[in-house]
Amino acid sequence: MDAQLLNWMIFAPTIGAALCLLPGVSDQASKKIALLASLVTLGLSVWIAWDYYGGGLEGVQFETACEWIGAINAYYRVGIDGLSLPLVLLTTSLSVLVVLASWNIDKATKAFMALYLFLYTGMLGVFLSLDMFLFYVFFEISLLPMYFLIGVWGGPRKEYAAIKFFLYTLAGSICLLVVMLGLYFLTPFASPDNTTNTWIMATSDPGAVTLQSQTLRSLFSEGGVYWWFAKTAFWLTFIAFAIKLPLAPLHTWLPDAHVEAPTPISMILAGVLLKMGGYALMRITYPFFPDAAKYYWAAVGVIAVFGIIYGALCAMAQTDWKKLVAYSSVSHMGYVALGLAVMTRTAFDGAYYQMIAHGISSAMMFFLVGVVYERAHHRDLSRFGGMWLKWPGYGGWSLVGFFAGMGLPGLCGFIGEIMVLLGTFQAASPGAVGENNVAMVYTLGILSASAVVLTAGYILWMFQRVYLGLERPEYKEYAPVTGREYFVMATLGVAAVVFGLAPVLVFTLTDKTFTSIMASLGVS
Amino acid sequence: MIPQLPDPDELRLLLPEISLITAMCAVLLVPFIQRKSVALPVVAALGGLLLATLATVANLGDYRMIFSGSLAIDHFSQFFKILLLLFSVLVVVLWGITSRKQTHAYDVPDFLCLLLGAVFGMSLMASATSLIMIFVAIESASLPSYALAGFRKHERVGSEGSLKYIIFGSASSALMVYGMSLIYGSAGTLDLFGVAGAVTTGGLTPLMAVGLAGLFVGLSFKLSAVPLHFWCPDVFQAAPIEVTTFLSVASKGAAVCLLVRVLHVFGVASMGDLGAAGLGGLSVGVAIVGAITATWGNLLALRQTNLKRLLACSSISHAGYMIMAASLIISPGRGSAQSVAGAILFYLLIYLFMNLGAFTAAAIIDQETGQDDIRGYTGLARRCPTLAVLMSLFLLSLFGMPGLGGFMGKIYLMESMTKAENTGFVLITVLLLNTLLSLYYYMRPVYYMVLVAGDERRPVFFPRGIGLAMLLGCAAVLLWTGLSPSAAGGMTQDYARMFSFTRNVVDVTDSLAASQDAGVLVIPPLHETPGR
Repeated sequence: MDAQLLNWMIFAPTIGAALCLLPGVSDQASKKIALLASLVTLGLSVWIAWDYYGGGLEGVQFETACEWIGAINAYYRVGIDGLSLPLVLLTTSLSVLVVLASWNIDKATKAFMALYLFLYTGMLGVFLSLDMFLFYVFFEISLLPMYFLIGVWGGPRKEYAAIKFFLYTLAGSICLLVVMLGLYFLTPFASPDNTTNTWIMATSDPGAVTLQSQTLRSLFSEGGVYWWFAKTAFWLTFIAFAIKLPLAPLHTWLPDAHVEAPTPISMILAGVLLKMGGYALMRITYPFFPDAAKYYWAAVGVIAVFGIIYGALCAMAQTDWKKLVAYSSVSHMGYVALGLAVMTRTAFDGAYYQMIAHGISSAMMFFLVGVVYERAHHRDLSRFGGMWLKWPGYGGWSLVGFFAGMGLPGLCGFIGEIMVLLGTFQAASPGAVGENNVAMVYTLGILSASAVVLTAGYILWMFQRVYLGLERPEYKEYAPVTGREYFVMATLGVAAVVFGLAPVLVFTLTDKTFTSIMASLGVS
Repeated sequence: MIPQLPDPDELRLLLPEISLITAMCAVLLVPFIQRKSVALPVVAALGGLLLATLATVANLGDYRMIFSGSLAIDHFSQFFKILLLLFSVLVVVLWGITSRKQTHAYDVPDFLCLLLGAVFGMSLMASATSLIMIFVAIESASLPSYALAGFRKHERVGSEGSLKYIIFGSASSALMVYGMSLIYGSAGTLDLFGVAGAVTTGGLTPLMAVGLAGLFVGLSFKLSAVPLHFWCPDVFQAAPIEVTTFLSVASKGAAVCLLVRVLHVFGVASMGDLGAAGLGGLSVGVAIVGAITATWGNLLALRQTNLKRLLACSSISHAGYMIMAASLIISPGRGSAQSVAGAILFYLLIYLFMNLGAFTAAAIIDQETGQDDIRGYTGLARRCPTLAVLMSLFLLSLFGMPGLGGFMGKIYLMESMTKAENTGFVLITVLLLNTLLSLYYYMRPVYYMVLVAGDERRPVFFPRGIGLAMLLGCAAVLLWTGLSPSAAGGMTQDYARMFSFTRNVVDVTDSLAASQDAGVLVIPPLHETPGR
């Protein structure tokens, strides 16, 4: 196992970005460089996944650690484990499709490709850093290219959407930074020699003092000296990542950002950037402050269910097609939060699967919208209809994409939702968080289960308005769907089916890591 | 008593200041040799600055008090002087590429002489440890600055800014001198260590409190701390851009160093027992002033559309961050005064390059497009991508984007704040909220440059030569400190060692009593504190 492989993977897109910016590289060449860089990164990630599989699927592998900033004990520490690997694979495979989807960008193409590749490094860095300081740096650095990608290449209200996205996420980052400094201050009390400040989130080094060490845990547990800190920090980090996730009522940046962003950027935003929020909740908020999480499980659960229902209702009320898909993301990410809130193994697995599945289905839905938008130049649902008759092939893939989003059994969206729902009801069993508050568990479970009906409602209604009925006369002028577009749709569609039928593909990779996370959370 | 002649060794330590004075004289004498020469005075000034730098570097290891204890030569002061002198060289270069064309040849020596004079005062500010020396240093830094601020003699706005500066400056100087006289009356000594000793043993008498308040008014003016900040945006807008650059970094930096020095002496004298010494209030007061300054500066900046005014307001808030950290010098909690001072020096180092870069870019944009209003920056990304990218980089660094120096500067400040536990966390919260607030106005020029499409027919241009080199140099430093801050951060930590006295308070009072008996100033012997 060569640890350098991981570093090459993280920085391959940056090298690509630098190549794109070289003087003399044409717009066309920059697209090819971006495609090549994404393919190389995808190749490396598959290689790493294969090695991780061969390495017993256990613990942190491919770890690199070297001192970065001595004064604050920050390390450049990256590595991969079961929690990050599936999301990394999602990122690398989606990125190839995103580059293909941005083939029609003709405004400052070089800058677009370079910024996108820069963003790519940021995303991989977030999933792979094991040092909290490094995590923060990647988390923030990924904001900047996104700001420009929305702000320069976006729609009519792009400037507003871009700065709103930036300000919201930055507000979250600042909550995170407060917690980080607090942890930095407190960790010496947890280390054997009382002096070591640490930022380590996870490591394969058994001797290292990590932020999840037992001593720290006891300080942060109910009745511990820093219980007050744990309670504050839980909410601060929760807010930080709930903004990214996004969870209603912290979601208002998302519809604006999605509506204004160009199609490929919407794909990556929904497909990967939102997952940073969920991933960070699983990596930081829950493992670091499990007692606070148990203490507040009901509040988080209520917020999550509110998000699910609110997102679905908003989606139902939209007349803008893209906004509908954007609100469906809010609703779907509510399931991730619910799965975490109830803290059962099934729900955790479900929440994680929901992220992967949403990464596929939402990227596909945004692409499907983008294909029509590029030709129609509007997204008004009341002005569509009969799309199926115009392009039966496109209609077929749309069926797969939107039904995957709806959570039809056999497609990827189903597995995540059903596991979260099952896991929620399990929270009422003895030893789980809700054993003394069964009524709450059932209320949350029943409400979130009934929201599935709302989801079916807005998806089917939208499908009816766009695809069914008679073909409209203005469709005559629309250029045919290209092979490149079919390739993107087909890849995502096949993935939606495969992951709907074989969830074992993901759970094989995550199983052992999740077992250890659940053990450290102290719940069954 | 026979007046003591300075010992030659002390003169050696004063070589930087002596070379500055010599250069000032040389610059003024040049027109007698060759009228209307531009090159000669510039060479003389640069030579003086470089000579002073070399002399400071040569003295870097020295660690002693000179001139009857009125100047402290230590790592802290020497490091700041090197920073200041090199920065002044860059300011002269910036002047060369911007305002030189508008300056009459016979004005050049005046300009350079004033600049050197201000540098001289600022370098004394970093070392001053007696009240008299503090006053002399502040005045010799301020008087040339007043003239420099109004150097665009034919423009009304220049004179207006300069006049505002003078009125504010002289009023606060008067208050400061009055405060110093009260301090002297109360403590019986002009020496800062003696004053601190008197406060810690005699307690904070009303007379002493009023006197200290006067002293801090003088400092606040130089720091442009709220409520003495009103001059700052006007002066910064009115002054030629290289003077603005100079004032925003050098003048504030010197004032921060002086504040650190004063607070450090008080902190050491109280020996950690703040409650008894009545100094807890001083620390909290400075922290509150810092927090208000940072917040107010940011709020002011939100509405600015002139880039120079915007950067002026941003410099108020950056001074606020440093004042907030400086308040911890008295009571650094689990940390040490040295680590706090190191963090401040590191911040200053990065702040220097951020501001230099931003102002240089603004100057070049101003030259090419005639715009110093940010709304005039529309479409700059198309007309000159290099400049737009670099300008964005400097603004983002000022905001504190990870990966750039400004972020690491803030992290180092916050790291030193965590050591002070509760107070520290309040300060960190204030700092972070301010950072969030500042995003809006730092992104506004970026927004106009990159996001708003401009008139596509306007000509494309490129920054060239020295200007481009300076911009790239600043950007390189910011990337270097942002991605790998260990080297620079470690260096500033090492060079933050300051004089402090290790004798106990009884000795101080004894020598104080002796000095009052003899009617002369007796300086308690000083020892350097052990390094970290």
